[in-house]
Amino acid sequence: MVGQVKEIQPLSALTLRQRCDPLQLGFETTADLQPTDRLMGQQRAADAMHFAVAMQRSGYNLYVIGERGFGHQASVKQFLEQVAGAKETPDEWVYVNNFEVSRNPKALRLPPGNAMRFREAMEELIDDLKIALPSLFETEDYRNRLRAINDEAKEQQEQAFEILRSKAGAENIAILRTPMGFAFAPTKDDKVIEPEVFNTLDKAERERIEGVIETLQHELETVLRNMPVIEKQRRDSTRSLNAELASSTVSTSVATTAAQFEEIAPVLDFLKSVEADLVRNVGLFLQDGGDEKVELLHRGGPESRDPRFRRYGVNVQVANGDIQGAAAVFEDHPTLGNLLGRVEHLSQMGTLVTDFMLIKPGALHKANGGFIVIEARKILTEPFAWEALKRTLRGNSIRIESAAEQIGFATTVTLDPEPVPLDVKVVLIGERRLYDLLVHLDPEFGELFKVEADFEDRWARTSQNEEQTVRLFSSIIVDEDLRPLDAAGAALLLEEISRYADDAERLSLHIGYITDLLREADFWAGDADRKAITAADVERAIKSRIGRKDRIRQRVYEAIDRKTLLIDTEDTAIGQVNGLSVTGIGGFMFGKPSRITARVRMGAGKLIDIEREVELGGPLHSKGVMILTSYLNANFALDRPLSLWASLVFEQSYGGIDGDSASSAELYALLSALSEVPVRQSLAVTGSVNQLGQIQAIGGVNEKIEGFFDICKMRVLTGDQGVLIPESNIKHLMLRQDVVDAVVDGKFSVFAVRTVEEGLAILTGMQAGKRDSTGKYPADSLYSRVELRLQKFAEARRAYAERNQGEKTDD
Amino acid sequence: MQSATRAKKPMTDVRGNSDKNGKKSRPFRVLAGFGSMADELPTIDAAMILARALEADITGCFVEDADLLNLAALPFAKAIRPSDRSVLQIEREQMEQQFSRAASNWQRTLFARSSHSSVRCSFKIMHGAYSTEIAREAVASDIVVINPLNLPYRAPNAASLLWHAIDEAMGMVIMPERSQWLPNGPVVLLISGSNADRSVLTIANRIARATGNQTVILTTDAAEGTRQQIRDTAFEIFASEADIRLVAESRLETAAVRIAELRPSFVILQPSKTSLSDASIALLLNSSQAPLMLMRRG
Repeated sequence: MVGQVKEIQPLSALTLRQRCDPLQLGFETTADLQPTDRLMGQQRAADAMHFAVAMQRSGYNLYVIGERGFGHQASVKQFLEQVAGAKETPDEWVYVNNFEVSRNPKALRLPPGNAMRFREAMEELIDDLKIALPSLFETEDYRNRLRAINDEAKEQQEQAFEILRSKAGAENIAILRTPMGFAFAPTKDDKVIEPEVFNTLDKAERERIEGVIETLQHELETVLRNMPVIEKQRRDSTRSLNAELASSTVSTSVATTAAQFEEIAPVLDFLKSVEADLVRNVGLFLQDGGDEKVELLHRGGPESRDPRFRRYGVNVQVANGDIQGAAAVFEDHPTLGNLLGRVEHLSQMGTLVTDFMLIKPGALHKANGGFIVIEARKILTEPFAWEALKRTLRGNSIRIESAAEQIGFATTVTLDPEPVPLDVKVVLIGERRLYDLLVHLDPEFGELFKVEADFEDRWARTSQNEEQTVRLFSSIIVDEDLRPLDAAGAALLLEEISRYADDAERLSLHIGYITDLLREADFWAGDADRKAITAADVERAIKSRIGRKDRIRQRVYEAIDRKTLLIDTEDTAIGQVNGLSVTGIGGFMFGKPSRITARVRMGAGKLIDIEREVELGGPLHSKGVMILTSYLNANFALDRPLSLWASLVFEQSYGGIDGDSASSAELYALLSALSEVPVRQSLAVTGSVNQLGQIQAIGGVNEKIEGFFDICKMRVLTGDQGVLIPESNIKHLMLRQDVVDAVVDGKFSVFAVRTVEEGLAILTGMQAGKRDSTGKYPADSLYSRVELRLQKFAEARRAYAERNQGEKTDD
Repeated sequence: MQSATRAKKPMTDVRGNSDKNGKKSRPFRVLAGFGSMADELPTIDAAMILARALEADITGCFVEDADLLNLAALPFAKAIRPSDRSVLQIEREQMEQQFSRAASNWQRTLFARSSHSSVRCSFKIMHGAYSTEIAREAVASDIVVINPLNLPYRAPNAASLLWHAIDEAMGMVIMPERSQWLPNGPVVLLISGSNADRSVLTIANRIARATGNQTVILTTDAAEGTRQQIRDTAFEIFASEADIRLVAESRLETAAVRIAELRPSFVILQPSKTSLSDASIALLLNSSQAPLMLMRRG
């Protein structure tokens, strides 16, 4: 017969699942294997990371593109820890008091291993002085000198008063203390003259007395004016005496401390200012600690020391004495404070107080000189954190900022600590979508994150890669402290991750999924009291995972079995095809057959996609349906308009549909309706179609086949049932073993087709037909029937138009 | 204005507790002298401690200083405030109001404190010179608590003047000028030269117990034998109730330094008539910054 396509045979069982032979793996259990690098299969990403860490220029920070759960974070961690470990140990940082401006604490850089030593040395210095200084001030000599100063001041005061008193006494005038102040009064017999007596004095005498008193009052004012001067002189003399006495002891003690840090210039500079301040504030050492007015609350650690001497404390921000190499910090909660550090406050008598000892380091302080890893999504959702990180990277220094200050909520005194120079590589980990958004919406992102590490989610399933992947299993097993995996188990796991990759020629690199499966298989191995994980344990782990998630799938299949959802799996029907779709619920994907029907009548060449009309169809689905129109026009309306009205519908579809994987099924239904040739209901169809009638690959092929298989199996496997898939999907087949077994037993078939014509031949048992040299389809072909039907529609339409001239004939 | 009412002197000896008719009476009275110039809260606190320690009543005497009233009545009376050297006109009515306010304030405070301590107390307002009126009120069994700041005439030996002026009382507590006194430290008994009366040791012991403090005994110019005698007497009186520290200091100056280091709550001294100079009293008051209790001998 002219134009007859070659009869399509079902696929052999061998093509339905790409097996892995445990014997070829060449080991007994994974305990025999050397663990491998987690960056296995990620050459591109590894190169990017190597480049980023080696590139010592500003802005070459790294964005790791990868979906969550793929284990990229662990891979990056392993890589960075290796690199950081080989780096030089970074310097340490401490905050100390700024004796000139206490609001701006100073940041000191110290070589590794010196920060804690410096803190202890300062504590020791103060402890020594706490003993040495008070004893200096308890000597007889000091007391005598102090008393001399006080006596001198008192004597000066008394002397001034005494002179005045003598002068007044000579005039029979007394100086009196009153509740209001000092006053002068005339006296007689050492008593103030009574007013009545005073009034009896003659006027001249009264005026003389008043004049004397007025003069004395002026002199008293002068005496009183000099009192603060005398008091200031006394204080100055006391301070000078204290300084003179303390300076030698302080200088010796500070020199002893300085000798321990001879090579560290910032420490020596700081010690100079400490020495000056100690001499200036030697009084601190002579007081009782309880009298301290500004007493911060006692807490554990260095803060619990005597609060009077906090000003000489050392607040260690970063101490690297115990570590070799640089740090690789993973900040899981990248708030502004956790990143840049914060200035804490203590509540004291209802007031919030702070000092440099309450500066807490952030993750950037700890990572300085090394690496910091942050999840992009987390930092972008933390208020102020992203902008602060960018500012920090631009300025190459860590400046502690407060969120409250930024929004104008700061209601208490805080500090502005000296910024710490920053030398760090920031590694952001996030999805591709976030990366794209940042590139497009944040102009600074490209300047600060010049390197992207794009992680693969799968790699080629070659024997070499299988071997590598098994070594990855071994690494995970070691890291997770699991039982070793035997060869059969490893083979099954390789097959499973190939299926997870949706490709028989690829292996998934979803380390998170692999790790979960291994953990669960280990659990079941333990449950079965086995010393190694076997294939049975891996299989049980896979089935258990599915079993926990497939409640909805069971409900859908039950509905089909009970004919609530109408799906035929035997007989034939015109204009009705079993399509296949994939539904995903909570990460679990399953195939679901859907009845696709087509109805035709005369019309103006319009193909109605009912899904689109009711807005249940997505754009890709609509595109697929439009391609059908194009296919029909190209094949059947070359020399006349397509006088067709047709409707297509996914029956009993109550949710949205998208994708074009059902477009071939829709075309089969449409052609069946037009040709009035019945379609086998024992078959289901998946595959998209292009304008040329070629069947194209679709996704989820395994789930779709298994979905129809499960329905058929629930009823009865007749041997007539099967699924049509695009030929280009053969390489993706990793079907379940029970499906493969059914195929082997001849109870189920999978057909791979390249064209619509091949599909029609299987579905209808009739050749579609090809136009001959005269441009006609063979008389007994399906397309001939289609063309004839369309011709009839065209004639009917013409007749209708002639009957109703002038009227619009469109639908 | 109220005038002073002279109390009849009870017939009691220092250690006795009944008069010649055998009527039960309290052995001591605490006479607290108040004036208009000093902050009298420390005076009240000291009086309360003594009243509790000696199981005595308190009589508060507020003296309206006659010299100040006379001054205020003079037509040219003015005062210069030391803090800002401003000159204020003084009027008699204003001075009387000052006295009235101060008297009622200290009376109210004294009664409030005494009600919490279950100490009986009375209050008088007297008119005249501070030292004269307190001396007139004092009797032999009195412990007088006074503040030299209430003397209107500014003199370096004000405390000493008071000690000599009020010679009727059994003892006198002179409050330090402008001190932040808190009765937290030990009670220091300074024994100069010869043996101390048992009564002084007893009083020191009772004050220490009332304030929950230790007693420290310092001796000056005492021979080893005398010191041993003091130690024996002290142990006999104190038993195990107090921590006795006997410290020998050769001079009053060094003893004053030691007293200052101890931060005492009270300093008690039993001087002979001639042994205590003006300078010594001033030294002890200034160095200890605590109430100085001077007990008369005999």
